[in-house]
Amino acid sequence: MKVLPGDPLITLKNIDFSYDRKGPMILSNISAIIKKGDFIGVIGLNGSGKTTLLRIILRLLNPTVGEVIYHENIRMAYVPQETSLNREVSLSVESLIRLSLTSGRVFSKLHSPDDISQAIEAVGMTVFKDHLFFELSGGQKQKILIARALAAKPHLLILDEPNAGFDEKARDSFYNTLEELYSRYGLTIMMVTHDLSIIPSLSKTIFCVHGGMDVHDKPEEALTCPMMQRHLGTHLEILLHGSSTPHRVVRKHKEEK
Amino acid sequence: MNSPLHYVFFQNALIAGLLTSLLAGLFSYFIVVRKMSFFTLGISHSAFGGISLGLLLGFQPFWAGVIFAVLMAILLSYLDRSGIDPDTAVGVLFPFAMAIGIIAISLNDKSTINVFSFLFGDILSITGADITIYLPLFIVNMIFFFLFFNLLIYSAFDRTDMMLRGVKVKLLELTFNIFLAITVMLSLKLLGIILVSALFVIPGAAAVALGRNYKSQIILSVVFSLIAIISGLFISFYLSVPTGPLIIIALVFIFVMSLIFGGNRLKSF
Repeated sequence: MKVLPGDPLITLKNIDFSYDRKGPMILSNISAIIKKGDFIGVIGLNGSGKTTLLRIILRLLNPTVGEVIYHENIRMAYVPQETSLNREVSLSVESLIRLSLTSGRVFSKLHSPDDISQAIEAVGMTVFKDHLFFELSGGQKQKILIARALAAKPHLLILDEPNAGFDEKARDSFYNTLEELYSRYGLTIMMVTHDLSIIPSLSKTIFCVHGGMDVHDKPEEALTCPMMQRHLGTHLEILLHGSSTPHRVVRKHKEEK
Repeated sequence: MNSPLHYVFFQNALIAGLLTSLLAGLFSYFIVVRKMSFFTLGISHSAFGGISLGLLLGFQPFWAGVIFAVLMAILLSYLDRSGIDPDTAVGVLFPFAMAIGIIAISLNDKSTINVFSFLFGDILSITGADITIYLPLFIVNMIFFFLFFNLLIYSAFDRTDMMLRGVKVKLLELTFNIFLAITVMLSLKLLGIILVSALFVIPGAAAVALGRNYKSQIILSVVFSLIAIISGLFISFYLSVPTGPLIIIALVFIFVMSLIFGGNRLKSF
């Protein structure tokens, strides 16, 4: 059965998680539905459990209590922070994506060599195909990791703070690429970010993680939700209306309005 | 002086050296990029416990060493899985195995000389019977690399993504560690427990410093390993000095040259 936009892909049901049986709960009573075609921004303070939540959804961790229901045999692709990769392994962009596809027991049957070129082209990095991955800039590396994810033809693309450490130009370019891919391929995206200024323009849904989790269908509400205000205080104002220039995606949306 | 190739003992040494250097070169690249140097040192030294126990209990010391080294590799993999830092685990198990070995030697007044041949190695003492053990183990190792090469490269680069793609990464790593333990044991007769870890670390380190991408680095690692063993063998024959230390000197020379000519990679050391 074909999954239509708005149909549930994953249901999180009353999830608790602790790394240690006797240790504190990192997440408690998390419930939410991830729907096809959604763009979910996952926000929260450092240590609030955002990455743990992603790892549970990705099946890398099992919830201590509760369950994750996958409504389809969905393929998930993960875009990590580039700092989690081993810099000692010197791979070209092309070989990185090729190895990712041929190594995958599940995915390898689904792809042809053209998928690699198409994925690199989709993120506008064709000219860098033969470059070494770790010789690229931070923004370029992140685009290649998205290309790697796209080549796997995922139903759900999960990004963990993909723009950490970017300058403004790299951040704008990255978000524009992401938004374009979202529109063109009808992806479902879940992105952890500390970049609150992007939330209103990109996300349709916000998961506000604080040990528990609030789900906001109106992104603007999330930024002023009591939890965020309590934790961020005046810092929230700076993040929302502060010194940095809103990037092009935000400007574009405002112009459309 | 006759060519060394006329002598059977030298032919055996050359065959064993070629087989071992090919494997050591391949393993060395992965040991360096996965930062497993201390693990390798721990495996080689823990074999000492097995060899000494084997001699005390009347087992073949080589196979006793293999069993001990493989058990150590499995135990280290298990401890790693349990969240214990790999260096700490090696730091605990390596002296433990050595302690067992020393006690076994002290209880055994017959075979101390045999233990010393494993401690310092002697490639020129390799026999045709040894080659019949080396060859099948070499073939099995090469089949492992042939089948899992892409998986090993990619899991070294991004372990998490590999897991997401349905690959049993922990099983792959355990298998790699077991094959590494067997290959380290194979190499003990060449270089001995004390020096053997150099053969599994230096070629890869030099190759990573000099090569541009993973393919060239792996080829260089194997070539460096071959050059060091072959040059060590021939020079030792003509100068009548021990082969093992000459192999190490050749490896260190290659490493220094790689750092000097390795361009921008030098900065990462």
